[in-house]
Amino acid sequence: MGASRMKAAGLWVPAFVSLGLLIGWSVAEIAQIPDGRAEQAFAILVALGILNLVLGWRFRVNLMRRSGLLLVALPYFAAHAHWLPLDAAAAVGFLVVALAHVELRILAERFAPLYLRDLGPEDLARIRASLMRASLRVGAATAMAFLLPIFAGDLALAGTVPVTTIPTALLLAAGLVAVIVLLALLPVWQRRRQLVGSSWAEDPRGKL
Amino acid sequence: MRTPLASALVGASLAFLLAGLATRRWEYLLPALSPLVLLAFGALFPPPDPAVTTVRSVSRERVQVGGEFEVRLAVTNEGSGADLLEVLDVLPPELEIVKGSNHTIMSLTAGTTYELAYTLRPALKGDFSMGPTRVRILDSLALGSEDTAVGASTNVVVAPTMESLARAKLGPRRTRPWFGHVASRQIGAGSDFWGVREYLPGDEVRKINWKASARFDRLCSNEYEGERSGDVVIILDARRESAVGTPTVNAVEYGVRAALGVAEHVLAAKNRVGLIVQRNVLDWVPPAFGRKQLYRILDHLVHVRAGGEWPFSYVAWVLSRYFPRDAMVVLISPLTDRTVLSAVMNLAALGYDVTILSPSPLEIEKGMIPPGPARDAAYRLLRVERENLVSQLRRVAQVVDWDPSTPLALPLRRLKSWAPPA
Repeated sequence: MGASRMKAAGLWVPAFVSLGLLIGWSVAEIAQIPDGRAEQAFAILVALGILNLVLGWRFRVNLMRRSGLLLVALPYFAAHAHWLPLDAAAAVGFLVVALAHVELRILAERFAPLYLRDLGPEDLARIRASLMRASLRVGAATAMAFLLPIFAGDLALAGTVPVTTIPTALLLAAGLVAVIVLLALLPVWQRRRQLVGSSWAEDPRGKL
Repeated sequence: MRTPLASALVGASLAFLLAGLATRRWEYLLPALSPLVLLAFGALFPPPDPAVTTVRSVSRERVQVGGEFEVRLAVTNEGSGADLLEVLDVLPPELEIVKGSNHTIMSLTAGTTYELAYTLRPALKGDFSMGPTRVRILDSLALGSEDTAVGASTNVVVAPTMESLARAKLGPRRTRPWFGHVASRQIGAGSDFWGVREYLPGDEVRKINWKASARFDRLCSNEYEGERSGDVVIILDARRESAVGTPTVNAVEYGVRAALGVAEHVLAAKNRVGLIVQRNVLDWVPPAFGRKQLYRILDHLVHVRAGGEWPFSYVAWVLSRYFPRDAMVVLISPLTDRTVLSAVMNLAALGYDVTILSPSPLEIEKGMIPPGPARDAAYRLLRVERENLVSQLRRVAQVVDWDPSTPLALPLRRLKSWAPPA
């Protein structure tokens, strides 16, 4: 039971480390703002974000946790929009750390309670297998989420895809919008396809 | 089903895109790609539709409060392999898990079966339904899930614990013509000596009193006091106002335990027992003998939940209409209101032999409040009020003031044979 408790606590470590990294990074960037008043305002925002995260964690309020993360991350981008130069690779890295934190937190929320129970070796093996698969996918997805935009940026800067003209930029933006809309509508289309002519329509007992 | 995280990723991507267009800086377009990559990665491995069957088996379908029973849930994946399958066997809150878990997350390849086993302990009596099982196939990146409810429900009947009333002096005084264990104060078949009379043809040889025969120089036979049975009607006060305490420790629950104990004790002495319950509905079990009657009463008591506001006058009407007039009435009530006094007086006036078993609500409440001078003062005041009511009731009935922290048999053993005042 002691080992299981350690594992449960250990699952939360990556989530906390990524959150600590995020907060430290945001604070470090804010500290570089030359305008004292803006620096102060952003510092208050980050402090509010940390407070929301702590309270949201303590009282299990999802809205507070989400708003806390937003308040910690937003000053980074806001500071680089006006006061500091924006390094694309660093911005992508910051965003990926934020996304990884969310994924790791969800992973810990799903699996940590399971390790706190009295489980047999077979159950533990199954849970460990699930955890390994999920961790691998999260790791691969976050790595891709970092590397692909960097590669895209490199390609653009190398001139393989000219993005310096307004028509090409608009074309790229339109393409991105189309991809986002497609991804957003995919689940709806999928569901509609299931409802029409699927086995579920013939046997409604299979679904809620 | 899309999760809030998927929507948030779409929103973040759009926000960076708009920021890039508004500021005309390509550096903002790059972060817009990261959420899209995550979404695309999630779309590569969408959660399949759950095609899962479950079969639940329980070690016991009838169990006592506090007793443990094991549940086994066989989960078979009849669809494609599921990397993250979450299973939750829905349980009523009254069933406490003491070993194992009703919830798990696992990988389940196609065609394989996993058995989820856990042990439950019911904290409250009742008829509980377990299931259906909720099955959810999760996306590793928490971007989508597919869930469904499968399997049938399983019912478990949880009986109340029975108060042991060994050597308790509780039984009907008035008898009926059936054989039983109650001394009838009439000559009949029994074991207690009653008197001697002259031998009559047909008398059993073992009844001949040889000493008396030798003294009187003619055959004499012994006569015995007939042992017969009587009728007992248990009235259980389960009105809303009687439920003093917590859902598991309250006067109604103690009343149910007492009613079951009394029914078992009286039926074991070959008497007839009936039951009237004041709850949301006023229901009753007509008097009858034997083990089957105990199970009938048990089935009624299992479903007793505090509720309703039936006045005692309705109970008196049911009693006079459907139950024998010379029955002994055992009223089980915490005596939380004074209307019980007039009700008992009316019953006594109608000729019923009334005994009151009262699980003390004061003792239950005292155990719930932290000690202090205010609690002690309130307890003393309420105690005086209760003793006043009990002393008034003792003029017309036998009253057993029962502290539920002690066995009911103790005050019942102290019960003396009692004759109502003329």
